[in-house]
Amino acid sequence: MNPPKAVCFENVSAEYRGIKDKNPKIFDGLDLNIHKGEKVALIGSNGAGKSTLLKLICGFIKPYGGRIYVCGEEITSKKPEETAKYVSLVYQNPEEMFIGESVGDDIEYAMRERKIPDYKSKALELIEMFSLKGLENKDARLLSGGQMRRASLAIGIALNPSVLLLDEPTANLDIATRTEVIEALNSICSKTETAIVATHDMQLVAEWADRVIVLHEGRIAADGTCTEIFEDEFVLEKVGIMPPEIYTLGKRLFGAQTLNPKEFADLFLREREEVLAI
Amino acid sequence: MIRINGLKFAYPGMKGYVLNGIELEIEKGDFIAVMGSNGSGKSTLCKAINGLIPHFFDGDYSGSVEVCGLNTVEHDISELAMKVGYVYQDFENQIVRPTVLDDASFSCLNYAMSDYRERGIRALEAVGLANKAFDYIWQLSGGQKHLLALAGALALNPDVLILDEPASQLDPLHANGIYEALKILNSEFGKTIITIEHHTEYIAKYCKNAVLLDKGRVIWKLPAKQALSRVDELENRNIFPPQTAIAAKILMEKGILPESENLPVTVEDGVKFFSRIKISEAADIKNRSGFF
Amino acid sequence: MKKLSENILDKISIDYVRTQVLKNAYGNDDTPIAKLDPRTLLLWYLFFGFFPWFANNVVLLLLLFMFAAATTRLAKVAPLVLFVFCLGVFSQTGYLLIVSLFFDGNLSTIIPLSVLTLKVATVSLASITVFSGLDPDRLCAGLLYFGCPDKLSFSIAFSYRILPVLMEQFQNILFSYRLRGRVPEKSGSFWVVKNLFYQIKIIMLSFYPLMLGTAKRSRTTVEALELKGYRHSLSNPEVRRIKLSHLRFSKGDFAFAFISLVYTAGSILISSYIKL
Repeated sequence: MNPPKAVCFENVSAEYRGIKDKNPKIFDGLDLNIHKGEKVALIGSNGAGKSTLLKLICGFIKPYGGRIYVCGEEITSKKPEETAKYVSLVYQNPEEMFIGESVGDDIEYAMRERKIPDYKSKALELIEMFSLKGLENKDARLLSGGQMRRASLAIGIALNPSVLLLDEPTANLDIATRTEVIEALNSICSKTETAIVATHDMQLVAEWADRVIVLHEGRIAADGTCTEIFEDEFVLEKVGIMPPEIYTLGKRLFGAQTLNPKEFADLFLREREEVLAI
Repeated sequence: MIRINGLKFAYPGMKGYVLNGIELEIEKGDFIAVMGSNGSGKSTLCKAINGLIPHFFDGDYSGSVEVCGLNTVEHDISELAMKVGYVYQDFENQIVRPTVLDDASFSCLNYAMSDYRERGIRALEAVGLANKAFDYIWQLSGGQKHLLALAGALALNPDVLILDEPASQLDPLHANGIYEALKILNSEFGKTIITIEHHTEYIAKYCKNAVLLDKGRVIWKLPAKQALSRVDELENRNIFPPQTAIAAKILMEKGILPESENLPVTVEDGVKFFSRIKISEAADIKNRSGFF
Repeated sequence: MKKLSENILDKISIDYVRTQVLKNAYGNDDTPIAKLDPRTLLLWYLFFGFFPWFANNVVLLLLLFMFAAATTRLAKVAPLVLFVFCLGVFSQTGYLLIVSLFFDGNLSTIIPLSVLTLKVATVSLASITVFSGLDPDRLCAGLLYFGCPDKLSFSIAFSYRILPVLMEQFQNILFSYRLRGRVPEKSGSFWVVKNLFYQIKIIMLSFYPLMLGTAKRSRTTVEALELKGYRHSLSNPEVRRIKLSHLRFSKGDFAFAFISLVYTAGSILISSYIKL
């Protein structure tokens, strides 16, 4: 029995408005199903359509053909104010999400507009959850990169969306803040049901994603688990993706899959035990 | 080529020195990475090299910086710009003209060079964007815009190029494009390249040397491979060492591998290093079993 | 009206506006107007932008209007700009005609109102021809020649460069409002008006974060300009000479000037014989 579909694309076609009268197609008859509870990573080179796909799901861009369903309801021609019931998008550039006067105001905004009861206490909860205590009265634009990113995540889940979309959540972050953000991502997934992340960060994909969809020139080039995708050298080369270094190392030395240095070290020890046992 | 002595700097109104006694020498033709946690002074150091500090930014400044024989306090930004080019992390904001060639040649035009267009084209050729010379900025991809910002910095033919986090846009095609262009500029054109970088895989692959900064001081300057082998020091400063080095370090701590200063830092290094261990261990065992 | 309010944000999309503005600036650089020397066009504008105000003969104004319209047609100006032009003219004079007819006026009010309308229209079209028909760089070179400060020229070019970036950010910010805001209830009175107000309100509110974001970004731009020697160039006459060195009058310029002169003289002559 298949779990219910969180997102469904039926024969969707979308295009981009160019300047010199050319309207290049981004998607041409795309079909896609994402089920409730999945943690999906969308990967592919720039221009493959990752951001566009996210924007189609939340109604930012309208397709010119086909239908899009979110949580069972058709949203193809619905307004963004209505799709916000189910979907939330966290932008690549957190600054574009800041429309309130302070961090606290931004987090409260959506709940306040929709007259959700107890919005103040819910906002406080979120501030605690994302370690933003002490910053609630500051203008969000004045925060550091990592703090801005955490604030944008808090805003993203304020309305408890069923589907959370994230566009490059770890871009332009140094390693320390990246780790914070990944921890935050993991704690979010207990609150929302389905999450879709568009990213270039293969280490994030290795650590977090259940399912990986590879986009290339507007088509789905591959779709499977993280290890299945990293195995598929042909696709990776075509699309220009490289798995994390430790994965390549493990593959070349032992023909096995290692997603982080600890796994590699453990594997090396096991191989060594085998060699010594002989 | 670049000599920094006792450089101290504090921004006006801020407590504490961002640069707290920097001593550093960078040779001509080097390809060097500047590493450090947030707030260690990396960007400030680079702005002291191109003259923005002290000419554009006020503050408490002492010590000396000499670039290609020019002292940065005695010479103004325009003279220093001929020696040092700078590419910002938010490179889009340093592209100011609507067409590619216009932007690449903009600095040459401002310095009243009558052959500004040819210089612009030469800079575009050096980074591989010559075929886009007459395109508009909005027609370029992110990676191409980054290359254009580099061409703009290159147009005055400086000897030194400084880039602030060129690989922060995680798209590997984009980051590789920039680093490959830098490699050519370093090896074929003899430019000295300084990059502020967190992504140690690029440092391992492209840089000759690396400097570690902490709280405004230089902790060390080492050949890149040695620098990246200092796994603990890097991790303590929130720098993620290459995964290969981390794996080697874990095994060293378990006593499986002998302690060494030079850990493998790239995949290629790792393959050679771990294969050697495997082979030598297997050979060891064979010998012992043969012996018995 | 309902469809209009529902769809303002969807039909008049930001993408469309951006495309039109950029097309208008750069998409029409192969027209006869674009090939003229900017100095010729600026001088032409000095005449066609002012002389109509002092003329009062309907026939003369009509002929001048036709000439200005012809040049605008030649310049292949973008439809959005022409729409704004029509809106402008209507809001200046066209509504007066409707109001006057409403207050027991008759067709004899047309002639004086036509005079005013034709003046406004002719001058507007002349501006559109010169400022939209020319490539921004050539326009700036022309302005520089006539003594405009270089900062103005730079600002014009920079605004075109930054336009796609700003529009994309604006779209994203607007979308943030839409995703987190609340549309007025569909039932309830005056929904159409409330909806329209809502859409206009969020468009206006979106400018504030946009400006703040721009202020933050401009830090790098200012430093980069310093490094590129821009401030240095403002006081260097050699730079100005280089920027103007490619301006050259051609046969087309003399032809255009000659035609304009002859046409204007002919119009004045004709209008003195016909009395309306």
